[in-house]
Amino acid sequence: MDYFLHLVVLGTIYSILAVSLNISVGYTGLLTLAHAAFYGVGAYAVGILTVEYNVNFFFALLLAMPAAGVVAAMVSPILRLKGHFFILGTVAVQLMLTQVLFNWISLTKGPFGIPGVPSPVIFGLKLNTPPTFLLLSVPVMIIVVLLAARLVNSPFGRVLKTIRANPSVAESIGINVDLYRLRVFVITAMMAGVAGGLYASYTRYVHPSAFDVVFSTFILIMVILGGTGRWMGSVLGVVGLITIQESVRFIPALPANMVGPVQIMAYSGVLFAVMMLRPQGLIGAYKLE
Amino acid sequence: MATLEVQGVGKSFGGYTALEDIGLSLDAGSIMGVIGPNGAGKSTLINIISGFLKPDTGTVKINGKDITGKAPYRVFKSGIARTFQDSQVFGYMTGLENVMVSAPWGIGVQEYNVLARPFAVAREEKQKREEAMAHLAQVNITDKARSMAQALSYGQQKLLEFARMLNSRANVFLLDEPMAGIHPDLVDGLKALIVAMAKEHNKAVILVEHNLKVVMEMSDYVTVIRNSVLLSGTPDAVSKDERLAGAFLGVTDATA
Repeated sequence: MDYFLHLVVLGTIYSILAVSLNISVGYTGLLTLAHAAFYGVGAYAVGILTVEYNVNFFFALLLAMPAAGVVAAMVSPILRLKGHFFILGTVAVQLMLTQVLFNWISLTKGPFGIPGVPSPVIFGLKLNTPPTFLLLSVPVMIIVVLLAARLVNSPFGRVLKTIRANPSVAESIGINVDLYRLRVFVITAMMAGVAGGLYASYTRYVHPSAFDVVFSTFILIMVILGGTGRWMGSVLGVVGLITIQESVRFIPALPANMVGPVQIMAYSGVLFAVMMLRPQGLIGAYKLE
Repeated sequence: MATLEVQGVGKSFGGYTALEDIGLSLDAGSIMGVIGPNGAGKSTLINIISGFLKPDTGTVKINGKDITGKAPYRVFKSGIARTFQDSQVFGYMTGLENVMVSAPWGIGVQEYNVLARPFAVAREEKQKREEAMAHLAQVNITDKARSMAQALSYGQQKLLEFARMLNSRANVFLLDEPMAGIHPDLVDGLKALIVAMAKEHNKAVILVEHNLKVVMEMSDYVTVIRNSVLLSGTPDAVSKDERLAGAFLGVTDATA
């Protein structure tokens, strides 16, 4: 039971990641493979602030947002790249930020990671087990997902959809495309920062390898599986991918040390199958071209 | 003061001079036909006026305000809307949304207002929706308000683009070959619509067309360009001018 609830906790955190990434990829057409990096910035912000500076967890979680947003703004010159070049630019950003986490030893402890991140405490209750942590992660997920849904189903979201469909035409009807792309990039990084803060306090340990390009790909697969351009799709994508990933454990006679690799192959297979057979994902708003 | 004034506009790509010393001016309520052979620089001119290309020389002014080299979204906000050669609707948005997008102002397009002032945004949306419906009605496709634009025929998509343009607050419309690819049965309706834009809605319309006959019928003024202005005047005067044929046959007035 606890293991199942553990998966639910991860599901709440991944939902924040997938729904926010969908705003970039699915609504605005900014296909980014750097989402895990901003997730990592949020996790490290909470890890460092709570462990090194004894900052209250909730205050640290609030600060994780601007931390991720500022880093996104710092790398935002990559937004000048268009189309495929932008995707490559985000890969570069992701790889660089991973190296920063591994090598800025004085700040991040490098490959040792930061252990002992304190569990959040609400009204004297320590949230250090999956069922108790859900008391925090479910409401936070609901708030972030509702905010995201509100954003994309608003006049603001309509602007984003025109940019995804055709940036030149969007520009011709008075939309400052570059400015909107920047705003989306920063806003979605901030949302990923919140997810990172939750993750740090849930696992109580942050390590650079949790925020690498493989994990960025993982989030993207959840978005594509669920369907781009529908916020609800991303929640479905999270459920779907966690289910697929966990089913691997039930393959008979699979040695324990092969579970991880087979999981990666399984979700890569999912990406391949979705692109070939159903490019709109489970409930996507349009087909990826 | 003319609504739209283009003066001395020139543009080269590498060593090739696409446009040289182009000048034209246009008032509200009138249609200027721009014609010329393939490669004459008609689309380049549209792209320069709408901000998609920066001219090497010359100026573009709207209501006396210099907008030369401004970004396209700024050009739109100062009152110039354009269409593209092929239909450019947003396929995965409804007909109504496709019209509403050309009013990207007010509070609802800012994310902080969407989150902090939902009721004010909803009121604004209601009004924008009504305006967009009115513009769909003007092109007679209110029944397509809820359809995805990609499900519409090419002609209907073209009408949707016109509704989108009417919905903007622009007073200069740049139409890049609006008749191209349109079913012959729809051409008359589209022509009437373009004339109505100028005469009823008091817009200044620049009509770039291949079809000489269409241009001569509809325009108040005609400018013939082939990299530079060869001829301009009323349709009558231009069609009687012997240099017109030369423009299309590859003979310039210098050699005629």
